[in-house]
Amino acid sequence: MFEIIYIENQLIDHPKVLEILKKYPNSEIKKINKVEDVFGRVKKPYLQKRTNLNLFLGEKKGQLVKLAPPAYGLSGEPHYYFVHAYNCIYECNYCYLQGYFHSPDIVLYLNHEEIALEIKKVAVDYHAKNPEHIVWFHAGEYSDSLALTSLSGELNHYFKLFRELSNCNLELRTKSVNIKELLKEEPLSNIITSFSLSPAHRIKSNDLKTPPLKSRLEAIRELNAKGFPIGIHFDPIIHDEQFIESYEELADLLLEHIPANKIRYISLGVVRFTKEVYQKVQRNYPESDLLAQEFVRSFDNKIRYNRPMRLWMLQKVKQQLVDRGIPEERIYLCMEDTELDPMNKTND
Amino acid sequence: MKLLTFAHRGEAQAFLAAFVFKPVEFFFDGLLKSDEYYLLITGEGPHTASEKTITVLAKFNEEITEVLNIGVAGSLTNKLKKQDLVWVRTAYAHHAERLEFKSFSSLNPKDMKSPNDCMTAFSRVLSNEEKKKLSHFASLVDRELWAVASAANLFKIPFRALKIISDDLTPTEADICKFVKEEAPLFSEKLLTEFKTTETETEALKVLPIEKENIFLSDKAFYFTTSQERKLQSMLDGLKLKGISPESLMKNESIQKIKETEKSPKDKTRLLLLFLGDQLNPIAVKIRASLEEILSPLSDAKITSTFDSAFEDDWLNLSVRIQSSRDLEKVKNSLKIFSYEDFKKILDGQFDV
Repeated sequence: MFEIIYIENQLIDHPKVLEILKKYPNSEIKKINKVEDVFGRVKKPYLQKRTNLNLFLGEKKGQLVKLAPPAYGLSGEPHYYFVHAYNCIYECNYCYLQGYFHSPDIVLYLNHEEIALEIKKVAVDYHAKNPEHIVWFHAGEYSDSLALTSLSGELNHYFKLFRELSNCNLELRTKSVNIKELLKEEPLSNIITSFSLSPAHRIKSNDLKTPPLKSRLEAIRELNAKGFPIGIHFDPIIHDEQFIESYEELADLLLEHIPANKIRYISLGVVRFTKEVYQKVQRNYPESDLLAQEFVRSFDNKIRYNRPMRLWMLQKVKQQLVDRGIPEERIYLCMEDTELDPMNKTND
Repeated sequence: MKLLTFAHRGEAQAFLAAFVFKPVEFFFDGLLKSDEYYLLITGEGPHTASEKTITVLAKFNEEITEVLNIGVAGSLTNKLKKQDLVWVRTAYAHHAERLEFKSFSSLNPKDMKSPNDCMTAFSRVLSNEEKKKLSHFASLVDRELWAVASAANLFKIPFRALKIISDDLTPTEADICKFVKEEAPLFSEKLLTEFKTTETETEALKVLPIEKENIFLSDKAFYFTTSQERKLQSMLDGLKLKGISPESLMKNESIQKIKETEKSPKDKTRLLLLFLGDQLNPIAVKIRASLEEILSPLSDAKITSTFDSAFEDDWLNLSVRIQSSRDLEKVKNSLKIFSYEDFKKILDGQFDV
C-alpha cells in the first residue's frame, strides 16, 4: 500500500512505528528530520495516490487544537478540531483535500499524548469562562477519523481523555466501516461516531474507493447495537433527477438500521467548493456530473448552487427526515451563510 | 509531429542514424527534422534546455503535438540499476538548495502508472549526501527534463520522458566524460529500441480521434464572437455530461425556431446561448418563472422589476412612469396585490419543482 514510509528521526524506535513497519515489510524506509522537510515541498499530483502513496510518520508541532469555522457542527456550542493526520485513503471527487496539501500522501502524527493535553487545556480554559457549555472537539478535519485507526491506533488515547472530560464531546467523522478499533473501547456517551452518507448511486459515482452505503449502514447498526452514540451527515447533498426519491430512500434505509431516537444528530449540507478545489475537480474528474451542476459563484466566492436551490434542497431533505420521526431539533443545516438559515429566520 | 529533445548528440546518435534527419536553418545549431520527427540537441543543463525548447516550440508549436525528452539519468534508488529504461511519471526540480514547487506530470496513461519520478538538478549531483536528499522526492535525477516539461506546458503540449540509467553509483566528473565517449552508443541504441517499441504500440493502439466539427459554429444562422464560442463550448460540454448531444440539440424544436426567426445571426446566437443556459440550469429557470409569476401584478401595471439575477441577495427594484391619475391608481392596486413575503419565500427556497 505504501511505497515509501518516511519516519522522523526521533520516532525511529517508537513502538507504534515499529508496529506499522511490521505491517508493511516491503515499503522502502526513509529517515527524515521533519515531515515538513519532504511532505508538500513539491507539488505531487493528487491522482498519483492511485499508483503511488507514501506514508509519513511524525509529531505534530505548532497549534495542536484549533477553533473550528462558524458553520461547524451544532450551532450555539463551541467547536474545536485537532489534527492527528493529513489526507485520506479514499478519493471523493468533491473533496477539498485534492486542493489542500499539494500532496496526496498520508501523514500520521503520533504525539497523541501532547494533543490530548492540549485538548484538556482548551476545555479547561473554555469552561473557566462558560462552565455550562458543552465543548465539541472534532477529529478528522484533514482525514477520515476511522479509516486508518487499525494502523494509527490512537482511539484509546482519546477514549481515556474524554472519559475524564464529561462536559466535552468528541466527534469521529467517517465514511469508513473500519470499526474494529472502536469496538475495542467501552462506548462513551460523549464520543459520537458520525457517518457521512449519500444515496447509493452517489456514493458509487462520487465517493470513489469508499465503502458502499450498505456496508456503512451495517457499521451503524453494529455500533448502535453495542451502545456507541451515532451522528449522521447527509453532506454533500448533490442534486440530480432522482434527488427527492433517492434521499427518501436513504432516510428509509437509515431508519431500518437505527431507530430515529438513537440518532444524536443529523447534519445536512449541500455540495460546495472553493474556486481552487472546483478547478481541481475539472482537472481530475472531467467526466464527473459535478461539472454539469447548476452552480454559481456565491456570496463568498465559493462555487455552489444558487441560494433558493440550496435552501430548497436542504428543506426538502430536512422535511423528509422530520416526516420519518427525526426530531427537528436534532437536524441541523450546515451552512456558511447562517443568516440565510430558515431555522434562524423562524425564530426572528 | 513529435519533438525529440536530447542533451547531447551522443545520446541521440542512434536516432540520428535510424531516421533521415536534415538540419533546420534556425537561430542556433542542433535542430533537425525528419519526415516523422523534429530532433533538438539542447545542450546540458536546464537553462539551455529551457531556452532552446521554448524557442523551437514558439516557432513550430502548430506542428508539434508532443515533446519527448530522451537521455541518460542517474539513479537515486537501489531499485534502478545501470541500463534500466524508465518512462517518467512526474518531473521535479532542485535549484540552489531549494526545491521548485511546480511539477509537471506526463498525461500518458502508461507513464501515470510508472513509479518513477525524475528530479532535474540545476547542478551536477556528485555527492552521496545530495543524492540522499533528492531521493526523498524522486527515483532518478537528470539535468534537463523539468525545463523541457515546463516549456511544453507553456505551449500546452503534452510531454513524455524516456530515460536510461547511466549510473547506480555516485559518478565523478571523469565518469561523466567517460560515459559520453564510451557508453553513449550503447545507451542511445537501447533508448532507440525502447522508443521504437513504444511508437509501434502507440500506433497499434491509436484510435484516431474523430474531430467532430462543432455543428453550431459551422451553421450560418449563427454568428459567434470568440468569447461566445468559448461559452458555447463550455455549455455543450456541460450538456454532454447530462447526456445531451449537440446533434440532438440541433434537432430541438426551440433551436429550430431560433434559427428560423427573422433576426440577425448575432441575435440568434444570443437566444441560442440563453436557451442552452436554460437547458443546463432547469431549476434556475423554474425559480425565475416562480418569481416572475409573483411579480406579474406589477408587470401588469407596467412596473419594471429587477432583482438579483444570481438570486443571492434580498432586494427588489421597481421603476414605473406615471403619466396620469389612472396610472397611479393602477400602480397602487398592483402594489396592494403584490406580496413581498411570497417573493422572499422563493428566494428562501420555498417553491415546488
